[in-house]
Amino acid sequence: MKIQIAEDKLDVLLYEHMPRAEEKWIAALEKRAVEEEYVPSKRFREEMRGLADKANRMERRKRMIKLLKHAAAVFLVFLSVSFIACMSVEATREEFIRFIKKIHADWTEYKYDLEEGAAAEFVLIEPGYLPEGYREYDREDMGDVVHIYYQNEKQGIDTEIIYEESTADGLTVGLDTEGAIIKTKDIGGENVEYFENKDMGYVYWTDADTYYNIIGYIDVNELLKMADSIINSKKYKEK
Amino acid sequence: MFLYMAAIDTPEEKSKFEELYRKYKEIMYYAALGILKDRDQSEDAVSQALFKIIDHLDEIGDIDSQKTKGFVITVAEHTAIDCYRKMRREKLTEMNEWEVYSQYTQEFEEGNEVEDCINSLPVNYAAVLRLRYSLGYSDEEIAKFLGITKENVRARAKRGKEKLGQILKERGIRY
Repeated sequence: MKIQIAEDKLDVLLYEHMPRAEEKWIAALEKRAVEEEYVPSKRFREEMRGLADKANRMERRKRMIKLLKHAAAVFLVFLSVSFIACMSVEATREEFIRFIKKIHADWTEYKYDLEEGAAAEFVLIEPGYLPEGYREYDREDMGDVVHIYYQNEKQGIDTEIIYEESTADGLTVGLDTEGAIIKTKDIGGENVEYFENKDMGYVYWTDADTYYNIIGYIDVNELLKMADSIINSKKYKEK
Repeated sequence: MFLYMAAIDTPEEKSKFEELYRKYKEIMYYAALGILKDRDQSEDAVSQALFKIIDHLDEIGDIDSQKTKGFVITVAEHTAIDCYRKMRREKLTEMNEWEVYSQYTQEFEEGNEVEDCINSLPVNYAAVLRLRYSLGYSDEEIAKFLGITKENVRARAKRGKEKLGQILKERGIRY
């Protein structure tokens, strides 16, 4: 509640009488609304549908970013840092990830854990391909978890893509898969899962010890190209 | 444990915007119509007002509160003035925007003279004074909602108060 600071007598009068004046003004409008029964034009109704879609997308995106940031903070608090041994780069990389996939009515849960004794090796690998007009505008680097945010420069926040890379030790991921069909694609020997849902594309996979996720308000095929540029990069192959 | 959930829509999370529109579209329309006197232009003004409000949905609390109601109608009325200003630039009207009044608030009732004097202020002043003295917004917030500078907010509040003082004096009301 804003502190009321009355600088002069008119301020005092306004603080005292303005709420009642406002009620009276609104009552006059409501009276007319009841008496006349306004029917919006077809043009107006169509405009409102478009505006509602835009508002819904913005609300979902804000919730998504808020949850991502919150989850990253939680992850930092509970992250286990007990590494036992480093892997030899000459040895063949085996899969140390075990994961459980649970399919619920409107979302799918993936739970990843590293095998006991396995050591996570986090190497940030950024996508070499970005959709046309996109560039990075923000990133959060928490050591073993990195989020990179991209936007189309001309169209702004409605076009956001988020790339996430994190070690898979004790990781649980929930994805909104209500009504969606999850597909798979082999990219460079990796089993990449992907789907589209509610105007968003989702692409995700793991390698020996790391989880990768790209989501955004864009055609999922563009996200698959980003995934391809990561998996087929020299840095990824040398991990 | 790292829990990551993409935005999941539930029936309970029905769009705040849709609720706002459903609840207030009529009175927003009549607020604009009171100024523009034209159906199509009034609908355009409401559309533009709702477009502005989308950017501030997070700041709107309870949809059903008096504060929210006052806020959305004030933005609708102020947006109607913006449309009015545009019409002047295109020479579609001769009237001065600083002399535009809401058509619903020009009657005076015994016992409510002060409120009636406040409601008889031109819309440009009334909008700023309402957001400040009734709805409790700061000058920075008012500037953001109305798309004007903070200095402009202060200037309108000052001129609005001066105009109110003049009206009260004319009606013999002491304060």
